[in-house]
Amino acid sequence: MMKEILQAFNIAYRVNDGKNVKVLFENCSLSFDAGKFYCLLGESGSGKTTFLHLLAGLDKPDKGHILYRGKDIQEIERNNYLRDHVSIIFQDYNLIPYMNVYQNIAAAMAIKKLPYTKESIAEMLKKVKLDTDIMFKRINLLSGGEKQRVAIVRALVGNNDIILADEPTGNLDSDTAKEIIALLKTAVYKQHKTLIVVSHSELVAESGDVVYILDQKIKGFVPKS
Amino acid sequence: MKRSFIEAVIAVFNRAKNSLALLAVMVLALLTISLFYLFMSSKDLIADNIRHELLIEGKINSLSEDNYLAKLKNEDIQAYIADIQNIYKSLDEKYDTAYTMSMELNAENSEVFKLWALDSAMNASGYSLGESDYSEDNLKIFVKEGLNIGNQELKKGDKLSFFQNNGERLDFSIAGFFSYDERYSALGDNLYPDDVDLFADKEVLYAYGTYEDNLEMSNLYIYLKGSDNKEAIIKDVEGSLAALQEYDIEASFIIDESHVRAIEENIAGIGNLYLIFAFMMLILISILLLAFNLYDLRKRFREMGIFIALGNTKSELFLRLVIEKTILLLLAFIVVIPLFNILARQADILILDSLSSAYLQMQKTLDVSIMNMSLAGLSSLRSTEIKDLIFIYLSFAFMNYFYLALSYLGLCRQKTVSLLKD
Ligand SMILES: Nc1ncnc2c1ncn2[C@@H]1O[C@H](COP(=O)(O)OP(=O)(O)O)[C@@H](O)[C@H]1O
Ligand SMILES: [Mg+2]
Repeated sequence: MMKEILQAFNIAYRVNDGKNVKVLFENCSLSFDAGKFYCLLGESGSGKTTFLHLLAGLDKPDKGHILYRGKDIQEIERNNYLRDHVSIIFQDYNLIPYMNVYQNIAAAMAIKKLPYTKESIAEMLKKVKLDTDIMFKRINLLSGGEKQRVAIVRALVGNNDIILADEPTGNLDSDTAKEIIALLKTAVYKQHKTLIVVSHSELVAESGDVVYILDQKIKGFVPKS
Repeated sequence: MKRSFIEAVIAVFNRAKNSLALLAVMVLALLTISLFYLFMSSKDLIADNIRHELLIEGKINSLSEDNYLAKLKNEDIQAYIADIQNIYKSLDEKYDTAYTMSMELNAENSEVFKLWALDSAMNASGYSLGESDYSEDNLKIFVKEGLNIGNQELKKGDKLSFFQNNGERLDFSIAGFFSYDERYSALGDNLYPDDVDLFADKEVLYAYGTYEDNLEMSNLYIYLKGSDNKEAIIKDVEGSLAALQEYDIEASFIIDESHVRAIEENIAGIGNLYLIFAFMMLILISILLLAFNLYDLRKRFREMGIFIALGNTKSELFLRLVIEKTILLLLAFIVVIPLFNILARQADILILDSLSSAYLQMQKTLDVSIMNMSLAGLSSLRSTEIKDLIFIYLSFAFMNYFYLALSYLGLCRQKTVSLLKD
């Protein structure tokens, strides 16, 4: 079995805000090994979210390829890729606002065709230190930290071996941030998943196995020295 | 599929405000379309009834019932009128004052009926029931055999209650039963439940009224249904006319298609006003509906993006939206059907009013008297409308699915990331 689970190969990507064309990536390559915790650091607006979207197949690079276990993700059915291989924890959580916590997680499990019960979902919530009486609360009644935990639970259901997290500590105070990172770490190591976190926070970088920095001059990633 | 259904239910009920707004638009649209249909079909229905209409209207100055009966040559009508008169007479001999009632009550599931607000003087004959002074405490009534209320057959001694227009309640006890030829219906027994179709299964409708204090106003109406026997009967009556005129009886007929067309045109003039109004509403409503579909889905771009990011296919998402729409459509139908019933009644009144003025106009231009009898047929509209409207409702559902598909195509053209950025 090959070591690299995910590879970005010669990626080029530019955005056009109507007036200016901004190059975010040029000849950008990066490999991720299975079972490790990666941290990608970059300034705000440098293209971190865009890069995660490219890895997830939600967006297409102008040039280059994303390879999952050596296979171009363009050749994998996108819904299969997203359902079975890659989970995303979004910057702003992206939970379904009109559903409660239970329904949000149940919806994700249903998509993956996994069996679930109230008890099994309560069990998952306990693992991320969420009270079970939160289960039937609407999403908009939760605090930022609670939402982030729910989003983590949702991303961890199923057998997806890659977890992409977009600034998972961005909106949280530093105590909660530490806890969330610890949670992610244990969950991912225990289940042998690959975690790729993008962030602008040094705090997150401290926990990563491998840390890269998005260099806006070369439009690509360099290892953190 | 089961899961899609659960999620659709969650979406419909948890997004209550959106669902209610969409439901309101749908109900409004359905009502407009239904009314549009009602106006369209009532026009046809009225014209159809006019085709079967024949009216003999008499000022009976010196004519007794027996007299004019003898003058009428049509044996069916003679036999029929004689039948009814005999029934009345025999009842009258046995009881000082008794009332008879022959109209079907089956249509109403109520024990209290409204009296038809015809001229109360119709009661002077003593045989029929209408608005009048009912002085006795112990009111007796004879009813036609086999009369039901709901599914309950009436028995001797049962109570029947009626409201007069002035709100007074009359309680009758059933004294007995009578019967006569089912082909006839006596308009003279002027007691109508709300929804009765006067023409249902009848060939002749008959009304006779003598006003003792105002002989000029006394009259005789005969309405005929069924074009087969119409011409023969017209001939008969025309033959009797000379004799009848001796007694100052005039007769008018709707004789040929040109008359019917003239009347149709007259009705159309009024009907068209409603039609144009309803048509404009229809266009407005469909634009509104499309806009609402587009807007509602536009607001859900992010939600759709999230589901895609979780691994849903676009067809799974669409299926869920279709189920949502189906639930809303069913809810809309449940709300619309009773609402429409109420509205249809109001529309009936509107049409009735317009027609009365159309008829007045007609009488001037065609020199033909027409009673509002055609309107009796209108009431049958109410009992058939839901069945007929099903096609319209299905088309409406189709329109909704079409708009949904159109909006969804718009969504599919978006990049998934831009869905999520919304
Ligand atoms: N659809 C878009 N159109 C124009 N500019 C965009 C679009 N998406 C992102 N950008 C720009 O691309 C840059 C990178 O965005 P993003 O990946 O969200 O950065 P980060 O996550 O590092 O803050 C930003 O300058 C942003 O304004
Ligand atoms: Mg970002």
